[in-house]
Amino acid sequence: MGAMRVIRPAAAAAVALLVLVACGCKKKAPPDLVIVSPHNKKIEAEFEAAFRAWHKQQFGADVKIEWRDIGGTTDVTRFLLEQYKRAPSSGIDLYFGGGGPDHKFLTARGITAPVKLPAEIMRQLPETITGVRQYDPDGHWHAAAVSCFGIIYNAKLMREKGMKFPESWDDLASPSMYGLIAAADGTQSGSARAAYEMIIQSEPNWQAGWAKLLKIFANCRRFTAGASDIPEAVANGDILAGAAIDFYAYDQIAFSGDAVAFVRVAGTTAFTPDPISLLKGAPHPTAAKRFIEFVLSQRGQALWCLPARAEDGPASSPLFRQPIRRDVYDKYAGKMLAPLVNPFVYSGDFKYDEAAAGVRISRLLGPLMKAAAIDQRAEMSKAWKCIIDADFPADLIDPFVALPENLAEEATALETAKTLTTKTAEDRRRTEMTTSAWQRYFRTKYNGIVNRAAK
Amino acid sequence: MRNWRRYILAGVSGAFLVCFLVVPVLLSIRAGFIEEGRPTGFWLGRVFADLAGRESLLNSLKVALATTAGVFLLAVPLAVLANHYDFRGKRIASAMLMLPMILPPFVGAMAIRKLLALDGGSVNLILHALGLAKVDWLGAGFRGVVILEVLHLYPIMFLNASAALANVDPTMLEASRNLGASRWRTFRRVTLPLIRPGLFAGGTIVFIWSFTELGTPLMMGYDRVLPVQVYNGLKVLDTSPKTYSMVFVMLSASVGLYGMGRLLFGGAAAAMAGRGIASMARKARPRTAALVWLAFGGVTALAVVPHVGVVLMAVAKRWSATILPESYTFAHLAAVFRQERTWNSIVNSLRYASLATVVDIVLGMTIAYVVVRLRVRGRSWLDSLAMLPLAVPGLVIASGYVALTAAGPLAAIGPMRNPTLILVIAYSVRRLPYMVRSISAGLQQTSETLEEAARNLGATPLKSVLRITVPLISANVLAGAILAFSFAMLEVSDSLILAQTPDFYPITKEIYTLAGVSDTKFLAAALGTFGMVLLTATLVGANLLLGKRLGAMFRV
Repeated sequence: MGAMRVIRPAAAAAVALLVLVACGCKKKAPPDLVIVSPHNKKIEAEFEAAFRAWHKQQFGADVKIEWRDIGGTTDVTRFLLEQYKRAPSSGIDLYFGGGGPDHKFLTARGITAPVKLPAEIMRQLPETITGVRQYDPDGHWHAAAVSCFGIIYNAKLMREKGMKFPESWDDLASPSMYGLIAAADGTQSGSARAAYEMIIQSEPNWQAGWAKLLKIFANCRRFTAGASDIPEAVANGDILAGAAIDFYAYDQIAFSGDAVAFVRVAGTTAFTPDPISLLKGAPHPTAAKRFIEFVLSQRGQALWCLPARAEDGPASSPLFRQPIRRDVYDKYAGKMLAPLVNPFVYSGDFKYDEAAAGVRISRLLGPLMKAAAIDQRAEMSKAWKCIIDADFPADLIDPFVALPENLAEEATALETAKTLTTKTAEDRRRTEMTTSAWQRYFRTKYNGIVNRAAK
Repeated sequence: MRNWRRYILAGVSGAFLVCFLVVPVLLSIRAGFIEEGRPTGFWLGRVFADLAGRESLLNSLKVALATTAGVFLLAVPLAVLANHYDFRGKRIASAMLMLPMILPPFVGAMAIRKLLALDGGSVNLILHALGLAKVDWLGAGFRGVVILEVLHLYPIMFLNASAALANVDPTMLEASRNLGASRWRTFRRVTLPLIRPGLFAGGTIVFIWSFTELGTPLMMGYDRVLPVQVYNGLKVLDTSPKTYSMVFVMLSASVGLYGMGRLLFGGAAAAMAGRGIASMARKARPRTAALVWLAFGGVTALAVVPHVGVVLMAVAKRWSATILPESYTFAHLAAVFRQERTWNSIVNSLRYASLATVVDIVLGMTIAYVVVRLRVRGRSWLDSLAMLPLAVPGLVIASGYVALTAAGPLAAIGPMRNPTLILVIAYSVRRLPYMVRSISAGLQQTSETLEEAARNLGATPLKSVLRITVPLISANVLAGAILAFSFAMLEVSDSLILAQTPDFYPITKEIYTLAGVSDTKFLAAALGTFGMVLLTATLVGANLLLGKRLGAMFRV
């Protein structure tokens, strides 16, 4: 009897659940456009509503958009890579958002498709800003917005501690920031790598750039998985400052108020693209092309930069992004969200070396950061503390900022970076042996500094 | 049972595990061992040549040993106290101990990062206000990781130990006492050997869990442990074959350690022929009751810190680097009810988790029965296989499912269309170990002679199992089901990768999506709060529905 008392309700529950599942499987109308995006839901909602209204007005028909959410930029890129290994189409039309390196990476692997845009749009798109390309010459990807890096800091806590607010990358490398900052893991975050490249290029040469970067890493109390973790940690007061992308910082400030502040680093601000691409084998190419044209129209671009509920602005949330179209900055001058700037005017004469940066960002910075900092956070931090305590003697600081021989000069480093490929088994093994040698090099160096300081 | 029948039982459950566990795992770690079509051991060697890889393996072992020891010290005395004494509010005190099980992982982490932040965290601000020195909680490394994991995992041990104690025949204890043994000697020589299967069940789950735990060390920035190394390696665009070899090392170490544990501690336990009906619990005197309450309340108070943070975040309007929020609002909580998507995710989660629990009950009973009761060749393999999911990182098995359903006959259940079925399978495979361990422990404690008696009286084998054994082990089934259901509700990795369209999001993915944007973080906390309420309601509901059985488990 006992068993039946358990089994009958269990069986009934199972049947009820199967019915529930069956209800859940009800057929839905197929979408007219499928977009994969690491953008947040605010951006998705604003662009969806505005695009549908525009489409109805232009073509007299509604468009049902399906947004695919797979995670952050790297997750999306990985997912697409896996899908196209198995089939000629992913069933997805557009890749909206993510960094320039990811779209270039997919283009190089033949996963994107070219788009020819009307001359009216192309006239307004800059080929480069601060030396950085903003669309693919063959039309595989186009920047839909641009973003830049700066420093986010907890103004309230720094004021309480009587500390000076950071203004330049040097301020993050200062010993007064020991254990009070964090940096995103460059192996995982493409935007973090771009930020580190910017820090390197803010110095006159490669060695000085890396010396500064190593000191910043040595000041870190942790390395976070994503670039978006830094603003949260600053707002929580777990760290006082860190490098951040402008729009993450603005979002955080809009949320936490003036306890948190953001500063663009004067003189070394490059604006990098946040592209949109048509994917190979897109099931709905017409709707997809229309969406790209809408995003790059004045109407679409206005959504990025105007306050919520302003004329032409987003319906409910401000998006705090820098538009790419030149004419939008003129048309809405004075009406844009306060922290946004005109990149065509602001960036001044800083010229970013994109040719060198491309190889270094995609191949070198991640593995080198892992070997020099992530794999030895404790050792590095200890060595740096010894140097601070000993008041920076040359015999300790010189080895601390030194790089392995095959990275010592900018030219040799670039050559080395080019060998760090992973195409064939041989490539992968060579890359592994190279980076593994760096890991040992840095470990020996940091332990050596601690030992020497103890003497 | 006839020979062919038992092999069919073993074969069917084994085939399910091969299909939905072994194959996906192989698909996703293949890259570490096959390079350009040829097998290679190069990358396995690199795992040990890598300084970070080597140190991580050692650190993971240390974390697992320390956590398991901590959980034993914390949970077993509490379970014994609950078994031994009757006191006012015992049911509430025991239920409160389960609180760590209702905390959705992301929001829990968000809350901990907020409360324990170095300069702006509530705890340090309180210490500062009291004139005490600030503590670097999140930078506490090894110690911090172990403390947080003990506080997170002790309910597993408490549940298992309580179920085992409930199965102990009180007449044995009476006999021991009558023969002149002291209470301590009775506990050591009678109770402890009798509850060993339950302790082993809880201990192995906690050990393997903490060996492969990702969230806590990740949050604490303690990255030199294997799971974090694997996770970081998988998150990059161009994953090195070394990462897949590292997964293999983690898997083999887990299986090896589990096998070793089974040899050392998991041997056949003394089964009890019968169970006394009368409870041995004694009415506690007021002073004892107060002390017991202090123990239960103290543990709960520590474990409940993140929950408090989540609830505060759910009603916070603005909160940055102050002890309590600067201003409050109910807008986030209201939004959970108003928005279709948040509701939808709750319904989805309930559906996935309950279906997965049903699958787990059937599969878990079959496997446990085969392993414990039937003389089938290769049954220890089946047992180890059923424990394997504990050791497989969620990301690995989830990407295995993506590969499995990318093409071929299984494409129809893949995440590109309707992910319900693959999510249910994923959840049930991932949560199977709790069920198998819990039911095995019950079976080991229940004598086979009872079934034999039923069979002698003319019952068929199936009938004797269903009417004699199942009711006797129902406390264990329930303990396993509670764990399976709760952790399925809170499952992260599979949910993130396999549910790709909002219509099918479970609650964890919805929370994750909301938490990713600063201005919906508090909405994520609100949904997390709602998730906690929901899980509590489910557990309380289970308690009411099956009151006596759950009571048997806690002896109230």
